[in-house]
Amino acid sequence: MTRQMFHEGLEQLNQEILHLGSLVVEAVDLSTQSLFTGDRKLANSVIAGDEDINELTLRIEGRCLALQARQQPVAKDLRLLHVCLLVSLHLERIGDLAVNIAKIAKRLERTSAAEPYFDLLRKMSAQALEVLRQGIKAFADRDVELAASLEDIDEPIDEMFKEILSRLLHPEEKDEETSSEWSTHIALASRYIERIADQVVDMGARVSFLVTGQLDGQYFDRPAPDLQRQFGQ
Amino acid sequence: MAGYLATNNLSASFGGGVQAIENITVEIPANKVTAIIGPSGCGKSTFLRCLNRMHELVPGAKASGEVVWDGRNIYASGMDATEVRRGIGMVFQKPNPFPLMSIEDNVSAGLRLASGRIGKAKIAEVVERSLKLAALWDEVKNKLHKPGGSLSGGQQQRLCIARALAVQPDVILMDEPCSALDPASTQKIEDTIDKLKKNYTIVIVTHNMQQAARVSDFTGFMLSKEMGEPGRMIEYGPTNKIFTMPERKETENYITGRFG
Ligand SMILES: Nc1ncnc2c1ncn2[C@@H]1O[C@H](COP(=O)(O)OP(=O)(O)OP(=O)(O)O)[C@@H](O)[C@H]1O
Ligand SMILES: [Mg+2]
Repeated sequence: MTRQMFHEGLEQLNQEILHLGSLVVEAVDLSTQSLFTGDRKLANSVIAGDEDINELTLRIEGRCLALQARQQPVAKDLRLLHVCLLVSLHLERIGDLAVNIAKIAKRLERTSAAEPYFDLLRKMSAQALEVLRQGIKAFADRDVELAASLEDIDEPIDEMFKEILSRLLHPEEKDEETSSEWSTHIALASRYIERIADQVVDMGARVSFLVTGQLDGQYFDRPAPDLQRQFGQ
Repeated sequence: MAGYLATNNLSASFGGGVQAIENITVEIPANKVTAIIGPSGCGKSTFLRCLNRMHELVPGAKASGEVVWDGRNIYASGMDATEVRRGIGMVFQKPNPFPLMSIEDNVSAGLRLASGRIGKAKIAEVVERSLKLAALWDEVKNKLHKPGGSLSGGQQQRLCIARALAVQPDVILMDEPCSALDPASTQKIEDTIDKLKKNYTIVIVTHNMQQAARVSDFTGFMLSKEMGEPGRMIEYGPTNKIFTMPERKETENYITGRFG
């Protein structure tokens, strides 16, 4: 493998990550739509589409391995390979979460009790989709500022998640009676959406590392954490 | 601390006005391995040879600036160049043992030259210790009287390391010590380097970036901007840093293979 082929390989890797990103955006978009509409066909298409996401993730992993084995990359090439591997795993996990949401969409009983929750879930989904799009854009543009701002975009999602949980635990008087199965589905759906955004925030930290070589300020020679103190013997 | 080196505006030229290196100021920490990398002709060997006053052995060659070794400038008047070269040893690219001289005598050659008359027992002791340090003892202990030229290239290079160690230097300079060796011999030399840094400061010039990444604690990248321009130290820092996040574009381009 010549150096020229190596650099082309890195560019292809970059493109594959962006392709993976667009597949995952679509999965999240469709899965949340199916959650609100109960469209089983849509939900099934998300579940089936996960196969492609997994395939592409494996392909990316294989490419990362081959490029590392044959070229001993350093500096920005090393950082790119390292970050592509991690970002692909984040994206793949987001794809899995979209599948989880699609599965709930198929089983969720649609009652009028859902409306106040759906209101919040819709806002959460829109925000999560926005975080995801911006996260991928941060990677594509190597934009450290955008990457750092993901945490701020994520914050209202955490708030809405907490609100849904507390409302499920302490229903308001006007809320209709609901089954525990139904409540569990709503709790899980909101949890999955919240997890999607968390994955993107972590992805943002990888993008920062890609550009700056810094992870949480200090990367190399980090002291080992005092596990004894934290977890006992 | 013994073995600490620092250069201050070190420049060097050859006769006929060839300026080889210019204004190099770096600190080379004791008991660490420092690798010098950079394209051919950027002045790596010249820099290394200035660190123990071997550069001036070339007719017409001059060095200016300072090399501070244990608090003393080796270029100060009154410093004895021979003494400097004893304390700061050199191992070359091509193994250069005395081919007809016995293995044993090869190791002790410098010692006998430096210390005049010393006892046989003392010499035997130094030979054994040096060969052990250079990780060659087990392979030659039963044939110490055989000629140095009878060894393989990798063994000859370790013999030269043993020879450099015999005079008990603080610092060992190595100029592409593995470029003529196969991977197994290279690994032996790298293992030796790693072991030696406990007691010695090592500066190694290498064209093999992976080798620099493997063996060194600090890396310096040298470059001459154009053909015929003097080489400068473009970037110098911890090896982890240089190979993941170099500060300078030139360093990044060079180590990632984006030349020209
Ligand atoms: N004996 C000499 N007389 C004149 N010029 C010399 C002499 N030795 C080296 N030079 C010049 O000095 C500059 C630096 O040479 P040097 O050997 O230090 O480079 P280098 O980085 O060690 O190269 P390489 O990686 O090829 O060993 C080059 O331009 C070279 O042509
Ligand atoms: Mg050289």
